[in-house]
Amino acid sequence: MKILFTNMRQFFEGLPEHLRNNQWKVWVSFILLTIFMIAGIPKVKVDANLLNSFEKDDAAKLAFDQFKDTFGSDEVLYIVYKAKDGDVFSRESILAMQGIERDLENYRKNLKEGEVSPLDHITKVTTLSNTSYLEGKEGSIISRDFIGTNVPKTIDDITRLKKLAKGQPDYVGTYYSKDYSYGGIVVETDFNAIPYEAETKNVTTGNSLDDDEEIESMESSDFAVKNPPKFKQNIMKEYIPFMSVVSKILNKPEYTKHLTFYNVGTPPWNSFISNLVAKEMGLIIMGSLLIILIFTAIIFRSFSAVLWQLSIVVTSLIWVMGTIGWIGAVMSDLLMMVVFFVLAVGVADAIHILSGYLYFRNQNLDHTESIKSVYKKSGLACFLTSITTAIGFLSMLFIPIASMQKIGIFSAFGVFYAFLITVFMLPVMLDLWSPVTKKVKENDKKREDHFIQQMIQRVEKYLFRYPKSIVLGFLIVTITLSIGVFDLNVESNTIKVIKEDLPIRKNFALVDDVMGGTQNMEILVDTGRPDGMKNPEILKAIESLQIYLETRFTDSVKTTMSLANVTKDSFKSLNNGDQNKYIIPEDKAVLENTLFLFNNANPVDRRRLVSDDYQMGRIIVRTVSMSSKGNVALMDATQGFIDKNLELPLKGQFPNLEITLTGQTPLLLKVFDYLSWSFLISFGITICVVSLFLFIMLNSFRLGVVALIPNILPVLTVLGIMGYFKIPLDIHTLMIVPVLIGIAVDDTIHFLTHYELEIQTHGDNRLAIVNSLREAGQAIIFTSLVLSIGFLIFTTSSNMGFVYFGLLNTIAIITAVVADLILLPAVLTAHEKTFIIKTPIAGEVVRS
Amino acid sequence: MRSIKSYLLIITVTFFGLISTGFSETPKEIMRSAIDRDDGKTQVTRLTLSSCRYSKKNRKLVCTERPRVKIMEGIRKDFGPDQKDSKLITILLEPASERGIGFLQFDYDDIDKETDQWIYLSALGKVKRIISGNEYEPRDGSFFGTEFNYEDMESRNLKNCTYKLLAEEKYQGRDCWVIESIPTSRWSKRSNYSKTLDWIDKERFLFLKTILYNRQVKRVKRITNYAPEKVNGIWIQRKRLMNNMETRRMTRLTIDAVVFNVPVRDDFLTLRTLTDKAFREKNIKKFRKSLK
Repeated sequence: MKILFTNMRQFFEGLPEHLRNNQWKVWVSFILLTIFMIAGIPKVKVDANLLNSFEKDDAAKLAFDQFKDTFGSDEVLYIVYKAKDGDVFSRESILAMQGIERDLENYRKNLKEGEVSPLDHITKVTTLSNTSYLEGKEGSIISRDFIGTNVPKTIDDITRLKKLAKGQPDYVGTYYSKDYSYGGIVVETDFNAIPYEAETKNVTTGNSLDDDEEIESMESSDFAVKNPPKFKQNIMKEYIPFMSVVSKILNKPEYTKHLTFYNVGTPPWNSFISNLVAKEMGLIIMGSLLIILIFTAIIFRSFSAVLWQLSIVVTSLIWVMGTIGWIGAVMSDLLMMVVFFVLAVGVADAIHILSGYLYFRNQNLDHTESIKSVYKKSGLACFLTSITTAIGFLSMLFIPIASMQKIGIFSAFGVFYAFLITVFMLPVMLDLWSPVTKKVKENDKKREDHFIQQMIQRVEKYLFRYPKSIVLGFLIVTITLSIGVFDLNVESNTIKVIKEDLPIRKNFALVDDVMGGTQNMEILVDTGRPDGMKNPEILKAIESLQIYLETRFTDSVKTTMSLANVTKDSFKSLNNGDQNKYIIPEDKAVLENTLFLFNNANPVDRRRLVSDDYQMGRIIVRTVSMSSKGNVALMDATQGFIDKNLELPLKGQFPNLEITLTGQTPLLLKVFDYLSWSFLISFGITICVVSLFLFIMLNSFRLGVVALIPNILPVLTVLGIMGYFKIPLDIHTLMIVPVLIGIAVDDTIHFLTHYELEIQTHGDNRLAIVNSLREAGQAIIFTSLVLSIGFLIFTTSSNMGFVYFGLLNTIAIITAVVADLILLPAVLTAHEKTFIIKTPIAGEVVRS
Repeated sequence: MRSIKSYLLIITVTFFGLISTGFSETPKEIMRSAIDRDDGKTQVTRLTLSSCRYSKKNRKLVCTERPRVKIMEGIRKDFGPDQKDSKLITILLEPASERGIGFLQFDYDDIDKETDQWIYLSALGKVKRIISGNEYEPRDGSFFGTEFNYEDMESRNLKNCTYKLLAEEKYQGRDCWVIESIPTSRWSKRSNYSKTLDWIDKERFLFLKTILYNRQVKRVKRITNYAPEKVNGIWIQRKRLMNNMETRRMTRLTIDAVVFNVPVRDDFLTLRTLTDKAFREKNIKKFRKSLK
């Protein structure tokens, strides 16, 4: 291995000259390759939100698909409105609400046949007015809309209507608030639940008036094999036009005159996210690139350094994007993360080489020699860091979520490209325009050292004087921070992650407060056989679960809904509205008759709650928006109750009974569970691989272990701070882990490869530390300074996740620098005798 | 009577067709002939309704699950001055869990008069009158839990729509008129649909295909009638398929057996038939013998 490293060092040392001799060839191939990659960029497809990104055969995803296949999408736009006259039952409020209902339902009237509208996603609009109402009066059953054309005219009408509404326990909290001041319009959609097949147009375009007629076949031999359902994925951006058309309707003066609106649910949330945050993300990345360039200019005091760095970063990005485009991979919105990772890695590579170049120029080496030296010293380090960083990203393949795997793969591509472009292009770039004129004038020697060099030199003194105290100090800090790690919280609820003063978050809070909650959990009951849901015991078990949830979690669970509710309501109607008959009938035949009546009266609502063959049912649990902690508690309790009180007693009768928690909330939690664990695994794997690398490279087990210290410290610091300051581990803050791997480990490798070369060269520990600090240290500080300032731009985001991401990354990077440049040398000094490798390899140039 | 009218109409059409190639029958008259086509004074039918979710396979709709089957018997008798009102009783035979559930329905030609409907729930032993919808609201309840709703099963009323001839084309190998029906403003408040396209057999005046547009003017259902046959001198189509494009489910209605113009006593079409099983069976037995 040692020989391999030596050979590689020689390869990198000779590389610049070889490249410079073939300058034109290098430039032409670089430009041609870049043009090829640019051509691929338009093919990049950004698609899917996080929920669509499970692996194909993931059990949680299959259950959710099964759910969507039976009951449709669980993505609901919930328009909550406040009556300006304080009463949603007043004639004006009702008329305005009915107007909205009509506008949302009849939007097609102004469209041509076949014309597409964002509102095509609406599958059902339910309001206080059109919600189905089954009324039992002596000898008759009235099945009608609750208000419909009977809009109240007098105060008496209003009082009567309110009384009637009170008799419907499922209305309050969904269609009106307890104090009647708020109302709700439930807009069901087909987002992410449109079967692939249904995409075939059913609008006539040919000559015949109906050219897509099918032939039916109901013969049993012609049964289609039921493939697992597959759904079209709706990209986040699709929510923007949907919400803007809805808002346009709501903003009509005839409605705003009487009502004020608060939109909640997945569509407004996704629309908000893609509208604001996605745009913001672009701005932030641009901003941080700009800041990085400005700082590069300040540190290097050179425009050519800025230009070449920019070129490397931009072409790396172009190459990555081009690769994604040519491969045809469909990316998630997290593609932005790839952009950012590539940016960070590209910057780091370029700075290391540029810094080294400048260091040697300041050591009075000429242009050619400087390039040669920096390639010899840093070329291998850059190569090794690229490998470890790429491993870090590739370890994301362990996350069973396709979109995250793609992030990992393409970030690794980015790392590889940045390395290639840096190593192969910088020599010819520097030849074209170097940060220092090629012939340094004699008097330039007197030039003062860079302020960072002065800083490093000051550190050296303390380092050698108090190595043990430094190690001890770090130990104390580490232990203190480690305690905080235990308070770490995981957060999967994105709503909890944005700033509290943003209107959309306020909407969610308001609706949680006055109405029946903003979050859905679905419980899928598969009885395992047709007509299973027509069994009184099943319905009673479901009812008991609902009662348990509503009484046990009074703060969080607002409403629950299932076939049990409508059964009770229908049975009551069959018994002339007798409140005592709001029960599930004991007799199976009576229950079947009751369900028959309900299905006849209201097939649409029936279909929402139970499958056509009555094999599968659904329990909708509406809760307030909760943190993951709350959700986990609720889900655990629900699962516990299901196991003990539903599955266990009913298994005898229904051996194939399966009750699954599903819907967006549990699934997101699952995604998150995968994410957090996988990130930890991914971090662990990377650390192991890196250690292995270091063991081999340094040819010393002890040194390898020491090398781990500066990598674990930033992680402990960040996690500890998060614990102490109650910053949750969420989708954004988790992304710190790969950045840490990308930067902290790189710092260590850069430092240790320099150190090891120095030791090999002259065997003097302290001299090796001094030289490594001055050469690699400068580059490490440059990179870290530039990147941490770049990351600080994230703190301007309106998304707290990004704010923390920026802040914590900055902290992590600074900690990594301190650990690599103070702790690591201190450890090496304190245990000097252990680490010195006393056999310098012959033939190495000794430099003092 | 009506068949003679239709016959005359065909002659007229053919005659005028011969002397003037530009001539075409007015759409309203075509609809009148189709709606008023002779369907017997009484009708006894045994129906099978199979419903399933489907998926499309090479333009073929294939069930993705075992179809749910309902078998029922229906007895209809026309009343009123022009025999345009009717009473209909329907009793479920299968599935076993719903056996004995029945409907009694009175339909009126007078568009101001609402359909009367009663349901008998056998397990509860209760008859309930069903009032569906508020005033001016469509009746969207499902017909025995199938993809047909009550409106789809009712005979149409000529006065409810305005008509337009859209095209003449061949369908099911037959020459057809394609007629668009738009509900009058009055009917549009009651109907589930905003537009209907019908393919009407030029010779037999049978509805071969109907496409229904929901209130949002979206094409939602396609009904195809096929397997035509003459029973007791009356054209029937043994099979009727409802494709609900919105829910991606279909129901096939099959007339397993039918007989027209058998004498049905007025007192058979009353609530007693629903509740009194012995009385019902005694009468139905007679009809069953003549079913074809």
